[in-house]
Amino acid sequence: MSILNRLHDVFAENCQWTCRFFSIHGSTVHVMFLNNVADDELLSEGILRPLQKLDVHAVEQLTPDLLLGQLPLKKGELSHDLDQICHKLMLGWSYVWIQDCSEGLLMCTAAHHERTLSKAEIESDEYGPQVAFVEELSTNLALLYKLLPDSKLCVSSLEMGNVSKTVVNIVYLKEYANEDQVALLRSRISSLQHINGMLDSLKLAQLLDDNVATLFPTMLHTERPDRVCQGLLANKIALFVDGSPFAVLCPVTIYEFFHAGSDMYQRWIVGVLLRLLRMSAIIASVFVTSIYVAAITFHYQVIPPELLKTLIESHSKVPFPPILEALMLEVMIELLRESSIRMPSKVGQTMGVVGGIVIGQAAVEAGFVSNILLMIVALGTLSSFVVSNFAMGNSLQIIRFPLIVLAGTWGGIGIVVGASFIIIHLARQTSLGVPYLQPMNMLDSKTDEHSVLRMIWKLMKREKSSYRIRKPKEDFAE
Amino acid sequence: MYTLLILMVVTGCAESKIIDKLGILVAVGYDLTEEDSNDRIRTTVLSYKPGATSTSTVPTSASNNTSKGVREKLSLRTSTKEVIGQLRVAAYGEPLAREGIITLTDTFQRDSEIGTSVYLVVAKDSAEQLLNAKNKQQAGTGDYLYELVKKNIESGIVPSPTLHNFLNAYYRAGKDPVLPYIEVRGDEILISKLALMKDDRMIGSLNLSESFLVKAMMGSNHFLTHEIELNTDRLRKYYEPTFDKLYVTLSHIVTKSRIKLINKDTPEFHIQIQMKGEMEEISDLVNLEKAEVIHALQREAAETLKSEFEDVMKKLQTKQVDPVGFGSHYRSSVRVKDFTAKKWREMLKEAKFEFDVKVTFVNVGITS
Repeated sequence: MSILNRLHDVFAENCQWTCRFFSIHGSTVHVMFLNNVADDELLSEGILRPLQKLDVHAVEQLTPDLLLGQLPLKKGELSHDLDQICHKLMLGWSYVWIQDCSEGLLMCTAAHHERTLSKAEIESDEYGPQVAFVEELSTNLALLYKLLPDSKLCVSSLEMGNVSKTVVNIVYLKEYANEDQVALLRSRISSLQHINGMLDSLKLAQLLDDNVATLFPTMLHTERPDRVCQGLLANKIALFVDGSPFAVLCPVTIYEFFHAGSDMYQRWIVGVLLRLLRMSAIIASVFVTSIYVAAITFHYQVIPPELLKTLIESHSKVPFPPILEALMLEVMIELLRESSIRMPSKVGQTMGVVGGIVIGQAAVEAGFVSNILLMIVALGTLSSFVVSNFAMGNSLQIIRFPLIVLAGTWGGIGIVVGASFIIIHLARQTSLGVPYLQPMNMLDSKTDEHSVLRMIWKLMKREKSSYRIRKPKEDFAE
Repeated sequence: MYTLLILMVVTGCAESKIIDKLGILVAVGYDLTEEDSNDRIRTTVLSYKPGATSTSTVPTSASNNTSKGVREKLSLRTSTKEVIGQLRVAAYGEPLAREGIITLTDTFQRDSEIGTSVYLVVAKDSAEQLLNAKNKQQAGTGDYLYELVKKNIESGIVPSPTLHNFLNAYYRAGKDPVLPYIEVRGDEILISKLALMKDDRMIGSLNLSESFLVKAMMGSNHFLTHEIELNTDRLRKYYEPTFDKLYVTLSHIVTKSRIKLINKDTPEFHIQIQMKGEMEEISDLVNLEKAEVIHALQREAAETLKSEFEDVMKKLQTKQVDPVGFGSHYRSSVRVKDFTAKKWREMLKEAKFEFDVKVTFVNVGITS
């Protein structure tokens, strides 16, 4: 059975399948491609037109080798492997086969459906390079090469997904990144044989996590090339997945999720103050509602006398215990958040703001919640948005709920118990073997100066960052 | 995580005190009951209650033999759970204060719900009357009392009358507590004087200028204003007097006192008092452009204060009370076996006090 017939069988149920043939010098040349997947212009300029114009009298016998020299395309190879041919055809390549030859030509005519580069939408910032990654891997790498044009930049390519056959790139700076970590990452990726589709880098990040049971992300995803370069210079490894506009950085500590690119580009005083503001906002967003619930349910003693009267008045109209009231309002805010993400952007803004105010105000007037609680929950939610990384933002939103329940049942002791649980849990986490809370748990001269606050650029003798590595877990099981 | 869940289910909730279900006490008052009653003490509590339109403080009274035992009777009169954790002021009626209040303060000391920063005050006639009184500003009586005492501690003549200070002075040999004495006059609530306590019994009082002097002897203090009368005899060469007497008013006064035991047998104390203040007002026209005039005024002011200090010490000596704590100062300087309050009261009668007063006008021009 010839290659032609076998390919016809494979693509029998694909309506894009196209096969054209030319009679040249007595032999028939078949050109096979998937319509629309292959680029029309490349196909006609690179294969069809040269075939038509081929000077048939100059050669005695038409061979694939000869044909390869005649077709003006960037990439082309000889192939007779059916699997490879099928795969390449699916990627938009064309197969040129001369009747009765054992081999045919695979020519790259893939169409690039890519959007133009645009500004970072999710991690938008006022300073620094504004461009964001796109879905095309080669473009993303080009952006990276532009910022770090150094031969130390290593890009090793792997293929993942039994069906999707996605290209995954591991990018790191040689002599900067830890070799063990690179090897560990490689072995973890190669152990993922059961994955059929690798559609986004966030999925990959989850598959490569040290601990699946944790609520907190241990790999950082970003859409900003400058952030990736900063990470690479700080000994990190970046992962790119073709088709995903997010790069994944690892290993990371928890503080890096709270960083914004502009911290580093602004004057150091501003940078340090912004980081302090962000840290306190994060602590506030996690604890403020539960502290309110604890104070109003158990610890009336701690309320300042000036506030006491207002608090009694605002809560006396509410028929629910404070814990229920707080949970209700928090769920309402979560609903608003969630729905405003899914809403079309034209409606979303209005709904988010007006809906929040209207629902909140109406709930207070109806005596459903107290206005002080509304203000406190709004404060907490507002604070949680200072985290530019939404994976971490979501985690922080979620841990508020158990804390509220603890505060409503055990009061202040409950908050302390909950906070201790969170801190112990965080202290146990690792990201590629690097302790998640570093440098809080081991402060020494080797730690990253920028991790919690930031260092003054001029005071740094050299830019360095190194992690102490806890022994990584050898075998990785999901 | 599972441990936490199991713990929560097994232990259940703590006793909840949701603030709008509570009657939060801001002030309590204690009085003696009438002679023929079976009970000994009448307690009045003033607590926040959420009302239909606004939250206000409501007084409730009942009588019993102990101050905490009365809660049983009080709970029959209120719909809310009365809690004591926000207590600011405890008032004692004068007749009760004259009999002694230590058993009533002792129960506060045992209570872990309240801190020791509760103000203790003595009310003229009855505490119940004080807590039921309406003040001019229509503010809640509890809040008003608290703010009134607090302000006068910070910049007035009242030495801090917190539970802590009271117990400290009570249990320390060689020091006696002083408490503000609060009166109701019509629709006005005011601090009219300081109640002098001997141990836990009120035995007399200090008027306003005496209170100023006593507080000035107690370490470093701030006062808003004080008026000093000057002897005009030696000042005549500096100005033409139109009135017989000359007064100056100092404002933003800062006082510092240092007590030194100079003779432990008599005993004899040397008290150095520095007083700095802005000269805000003078009752006659005096040309203050020359430094020597100001120095003369300062000297005269110091002279006046010195004689006033001596007078007030004589009064305290005859009453055998020691609010400043000379006794505890004596004890810290001299090692005495079995130093008791009783011994010190005998010694106090014989003690001598030598004052060295220095007055400085930091500013005689434009004052704020």
